[in-house]
Amino acid sequence: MSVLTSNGQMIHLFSRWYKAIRQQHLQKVHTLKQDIDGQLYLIKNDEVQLIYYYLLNVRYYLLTDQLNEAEKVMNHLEKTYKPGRKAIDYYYYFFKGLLFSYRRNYAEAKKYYLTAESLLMYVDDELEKAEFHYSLANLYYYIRQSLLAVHYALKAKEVFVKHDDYQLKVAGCENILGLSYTTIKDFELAEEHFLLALDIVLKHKNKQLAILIRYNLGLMYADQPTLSKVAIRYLLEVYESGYQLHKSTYLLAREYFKIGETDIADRFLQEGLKVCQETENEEYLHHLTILNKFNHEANDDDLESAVKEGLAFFNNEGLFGFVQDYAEQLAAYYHEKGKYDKSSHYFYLAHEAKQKLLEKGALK
Amino acid sequence: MKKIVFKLVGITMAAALFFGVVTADANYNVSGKTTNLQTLSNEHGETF
Repeated sequence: MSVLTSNGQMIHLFSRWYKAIRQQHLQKVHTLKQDIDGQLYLIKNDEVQLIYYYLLNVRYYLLTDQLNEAEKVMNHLEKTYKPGRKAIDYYYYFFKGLLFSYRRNYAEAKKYYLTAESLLMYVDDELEKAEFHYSLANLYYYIRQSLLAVHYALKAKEVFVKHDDYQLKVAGCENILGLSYTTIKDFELAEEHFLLALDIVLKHKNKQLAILIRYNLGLMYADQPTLSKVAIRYLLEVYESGYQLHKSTYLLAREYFKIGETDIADRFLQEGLKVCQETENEEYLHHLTILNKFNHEANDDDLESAVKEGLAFFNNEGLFGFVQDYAEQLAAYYHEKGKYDKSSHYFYLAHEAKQKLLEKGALK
Repeated sequence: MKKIVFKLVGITMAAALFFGVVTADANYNVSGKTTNLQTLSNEHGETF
C-alpha cells in the first residue's frame, strides 16, 4: 500500500485507479481501491474529491459486476449532488447512463448518455472521449441501432488504436463491430471483426475474453441457416470452459435441435434448465423451457402456455426483442396450422413489441 | 431545373437507402420459421 502525505496525491491515485478501470485491469483496480479506501481520511473535508471518489466507486462496482453496490453509491451521491461543475457533471451523467445500461434500462441510459455527450467538450482527455463513445456503441448495439453502434465503435477505435496499453479496448471495439454486423446480417464483415478481436486478446493471453469472443463467433454462425455445425464447434469450446453456462447450453441445444439431433439437444436443455434453477436465472429458464417444448414436439396448449409465460416475463423486463421473436414464432406456427385467429393475435403482439423496441431506442 | 430535380432524387434515394437499412435492422427477424428457430434475436451477444 502506498503512503500518502497530501490529498493532492489522492488525485493522482484517483487518476491511476480510473485508468486501470478503463483498461479493465482487474488486479490493479482492486489494489488501488484498497489503497484509496485506506487513506480516505485525507479527503474527508474535500467536497469535490469526495464526489470524484463516489463516482469512481460507482464505476468500480459496475466493472466488478456489483450492480447493487453501484446503485447504492449513486443513490447516496444523488442526495447531495448539485450539478454545475461541467467536468464532474459529465462523469455523473455518464456513469448514471452506464448504470442504467448495465440494468438493461436502455431508454434511461440513452437519456443520461446524451446529457453526458453535451458535456464532452469540457473533457480534454481523448481516451475519455473514446471510452464514452465505446459505451455509446455498446448501448446502440443492445438497442439494435447497428449503424450507430458501428459509427461509435469506429470512432472509439480510432483513438484506442494509437495507445499500446489500450489494445484490449481495440479488441472490444472489434467485438462490437462483429456483433453489430451480425445483427444486420453482414456475416462476412462480422467474422472479420471477431477474428481481429480474437487475435488481439490471444496476443494478450486473455483467455476469458477469448472465450467471450468465441461465444460471439458461435452466435454469429448460429444465426446463419446452414452453419449450425460450425457454430456448435465454437459453442462447445465455450461450454467446456464453463463460461455463461445458461447461454452456452441454450445455444448448443438450439443448434442441435436445428440439425435434428434432438437427443443431444435434450441433454443440453436439461443441463441448462438445472443451471438456471440453481442460479435463479428466470430469463434463460423461459428461453430453455420454450425450446424444450419445441424439441419434445409439445402439443399446442403446452407450447402456447410456455410462450405466454415467457412473453409476460420478457414484457415485464422490457426485453421486447424476445417478445417480438417468440410472438412471431408462435404466429407463424399457428399460421402453418391454419389457426388464423391465433396467428393474427400473435403477429399483432410481435408488431406491438417491435414498436416498443423502437420507442426504447428513440430520443426522449 | 434539371439540376434541382436530380438533387432531390439523389437526396430521396440517400434517405431511402438509410431508412431502408434502419428498417431492415429493426425487422431483422421477419423471416423466422417456427420449426427451425433459425433467427432468434441477437440479444444473447456479449460485450466487454
